[in-house]
Amino acid sequence: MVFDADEKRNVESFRMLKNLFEMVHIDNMKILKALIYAKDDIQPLIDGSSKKRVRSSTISSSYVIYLMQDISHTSF
Amino acid sequence: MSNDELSILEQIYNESRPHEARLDSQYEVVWVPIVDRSVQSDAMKEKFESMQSSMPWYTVYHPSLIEKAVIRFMKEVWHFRNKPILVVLDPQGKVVSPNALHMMWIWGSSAFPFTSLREESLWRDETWRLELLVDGIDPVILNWVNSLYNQSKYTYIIRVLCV
Repeated sequence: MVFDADEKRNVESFRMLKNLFEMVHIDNMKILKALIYAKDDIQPLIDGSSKKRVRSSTISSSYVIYLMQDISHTSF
Repeated sequence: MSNDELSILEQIYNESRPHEARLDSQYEVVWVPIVDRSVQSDAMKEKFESMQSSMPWYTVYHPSLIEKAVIRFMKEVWHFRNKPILVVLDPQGKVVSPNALHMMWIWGSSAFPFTSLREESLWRDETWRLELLVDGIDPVILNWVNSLYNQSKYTYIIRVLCV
């Protein structure tokens, strides 16, 4: 099978993500960052109450409820 | 998820915020928008922005921050398809509920932190209350309720009986 570099990287990221969820952590920082990309220290979230951009660490000591929604196939 | 369902979720969320201090640990909702990369358009961008700005909780800044591998993980491991799901992680990043949506509809924020243990205890309390309520009416109802109490698709019926 022939993979291009992008595909190879995706397969590797997927495998790492699976491993990460099988491990026991002392906090949720690694998981939060793996799910929502935080390259170059950008602020990946918007706080709904202030509408300001924040870092993943803002929610690091909480239970996190991910509401996943496919917006391409949702009528709005 | 229809607009109605979203507004119910919003109502539960807003109602639970002031009582948060009573909980052992707080919770945050994060909206994760999944966009099919083949249908990118201005209309999609507008839809995303309008949905994002209406939400009271945290939202992902842009759909492009959700990597392909993450979407694959959500589909294969969390069984995410076209319907929205609520996945709950504890403060150590462990999945405590793979889909809390039905618990949210039935119990609202009292089901927090949406673990199956919490769900069982809520049902246990509820059947006890039902015994008081239907006692003297018809023992058949009670048997009927007891046999159903663990089956979430009947939860709505039981809920109506309680009101």
